[in-house]
Amino acid sequence: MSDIIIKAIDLTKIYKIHRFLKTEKVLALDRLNLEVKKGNIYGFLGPNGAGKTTTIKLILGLTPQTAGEVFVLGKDPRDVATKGKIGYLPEIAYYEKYLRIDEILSYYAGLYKMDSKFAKERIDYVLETVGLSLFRKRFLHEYSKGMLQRVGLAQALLNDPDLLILDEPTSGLDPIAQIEIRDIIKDLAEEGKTIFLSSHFLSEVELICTHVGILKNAKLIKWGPMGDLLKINKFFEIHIEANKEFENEITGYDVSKIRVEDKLIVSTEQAEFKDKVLSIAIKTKARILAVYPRQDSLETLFKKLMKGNEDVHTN
Amino acid sequence: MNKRHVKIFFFSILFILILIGLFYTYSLVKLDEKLHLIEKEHEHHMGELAEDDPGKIDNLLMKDLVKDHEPDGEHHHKSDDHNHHTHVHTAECEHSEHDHEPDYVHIEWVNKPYFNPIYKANLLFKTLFILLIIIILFIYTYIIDKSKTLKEDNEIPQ
Amino acid sequence: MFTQIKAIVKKYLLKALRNKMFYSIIFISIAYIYLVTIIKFFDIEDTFQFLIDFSLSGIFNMGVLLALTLGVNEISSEIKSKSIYLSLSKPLDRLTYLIGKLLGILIVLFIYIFVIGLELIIVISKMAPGMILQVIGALLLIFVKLGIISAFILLFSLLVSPVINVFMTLLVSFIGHISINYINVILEDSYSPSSIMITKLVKFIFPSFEFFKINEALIQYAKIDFMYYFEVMLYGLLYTFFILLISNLVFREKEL
Repeated sequence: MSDIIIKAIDLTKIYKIHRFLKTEKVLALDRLNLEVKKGNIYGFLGPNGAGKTTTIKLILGLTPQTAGEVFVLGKDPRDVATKGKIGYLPEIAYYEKYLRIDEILSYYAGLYKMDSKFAKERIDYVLETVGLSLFRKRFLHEYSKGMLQRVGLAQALLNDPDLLILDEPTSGLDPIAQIEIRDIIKDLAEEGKTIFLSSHFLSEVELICTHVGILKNAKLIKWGPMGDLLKINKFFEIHIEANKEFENEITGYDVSKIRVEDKLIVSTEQAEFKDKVLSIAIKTKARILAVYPRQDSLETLFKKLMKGNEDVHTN
Repeated sequence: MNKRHVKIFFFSILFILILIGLFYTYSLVKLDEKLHLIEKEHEHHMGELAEDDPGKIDNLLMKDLVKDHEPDGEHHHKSDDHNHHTHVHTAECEHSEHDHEPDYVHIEWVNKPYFNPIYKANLLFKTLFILLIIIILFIYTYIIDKSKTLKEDNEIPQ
Repeated sequence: MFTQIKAIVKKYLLKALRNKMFYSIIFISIAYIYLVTIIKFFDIEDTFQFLIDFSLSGIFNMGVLLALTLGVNEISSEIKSKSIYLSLSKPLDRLTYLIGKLLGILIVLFIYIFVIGLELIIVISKMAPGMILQVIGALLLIFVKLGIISAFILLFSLLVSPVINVFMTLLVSFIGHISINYINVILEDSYSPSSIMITKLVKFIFPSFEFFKINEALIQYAKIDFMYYFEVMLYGLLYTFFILLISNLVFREKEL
């Protein structure tokens, strides 16, 4: 099997909204090119309405594309065999509240065409994995959102998928539940599953994803391995107990300065400026408190991209 | 032929079929009108007997008291002082044919689909028509425009 | 496909049988049939006629109410809550999904017809034992008729909101029940030939429920040929499947 799990080529989706006597067209996804390799945890980011859920729907074969192509596990996502190898957790998992956990899971097992004996084994296993085995006979309406999200994860794991698509897996959860879900995702990645995850929590994506793609206005504007993306914005931060002389000396250099109480924080992206700043500090007898090599957090990168002042990308 | 042409072609066939169906219904209705005239004549011919008619249920229903020779337990009604049995006839049956069976209750349900061959023909036609549309819809959905259905074949795209 | 349909039907039944509305309608229907049976006329024929007329139409009307209760929200709520994504992301064809839902509704309706029909048959067996088979036939025809209506409910739940769904279903039921004879005899005198023609065309497309109504025959203790039941049921089943295929086309085109 090829190493590429998801491949999108110029994938485009235009929704037609039918209004009275006229049809409005909305571009939801504009020529998306995407490649997710085996074992990746791919974080898919973007503001609301950027096209994240549309992409997921196209990958799942839930909606037909307007143009372009998408292949999942080397095949069309509407291929029966392909669908059987995908696990999907939707953004907000609404389940029929009148059902018990084991009933809803046996329903999904049925949709995966599992026979009852095998289904029972799998249900036991996934409930154990998500930590719900003690609650299997309880009705879904008795559960909190965090527990329901676990049920969602359990149904996504039922078929032992090669590819897991998680749409906002931790949205609306309390911090402890977020950590627990995150740990489950990490464990699944260690088992060798490919995970495609969309999230609003940038810190979470930064923590668990190996690759990232950022969508803005229906276009993928930045993508690549997490390390490479954040490396682009490496800089140095020098904390100095500055005096007048020092401040006068560094005026004119391409550095940014922030004063925090009696401390001056000087940042620069270039190593020679860092050395220059340090030598000025020694010369002017300003006390050097600390020197930090820094890189942008995903959050800073994301903010910059959303403001529109960055359109570089890596591969 | 692209997808759009296929769709236009498919819906044209469907449209033509519906037109044929409608034409058939039209001719059937014409026949039905003739039948209605026959019925009116018959009503006129029956005269006073129509007073025994359970017309309160349906004023198009006519009941004619005649005797039935067939002994059939299931058809008996306990409370009646005579054997109430319905011998059913279609509109084409001439009343005179049954005059030799004077003891039987004879009902002509001219307008009831279960006894009227024209209505039955209508039913049969509608059934066949629907069957045809089902076959066409199936062909369209799963053979002509399968872009939105699940694929069973496992071809690997380039 | 069979395992999938079984799973959908099972889930549907769990939902329906945990719905208080189902039991309320069964209870009201049983009470209704009981009330119809205790009303006695001087003439036993009148009593029988009253019983057949009121019980069969009552069973049908309550059945429509039950089908509406159970079906009107079935797909639209899943689309609204997006839980349908979960089902359709599995290797499940949309037609299979629709068949499962419809079978679920049909099984609930069958349970309903069975319970109420049993009550009616017990009453009939005392009054006119010879008519039991015909009454069973009439009940089966009502069941098939309710099947067609359920298919329409599912179709409309893909297209319109639940409230409009109720109105449209009732409209289909109403148009379906107009007999072609009524159009020929009554309307022909008051309307122009072209409007009569249009009415007939509309009638052709809508289901012909007049085939399913055999109350008059039962009242007259008439025997209907077995083949007639068979033909009407075949027509009903095919019509239901036809609506299901139309629903499938709509469902495929629908942006979820």
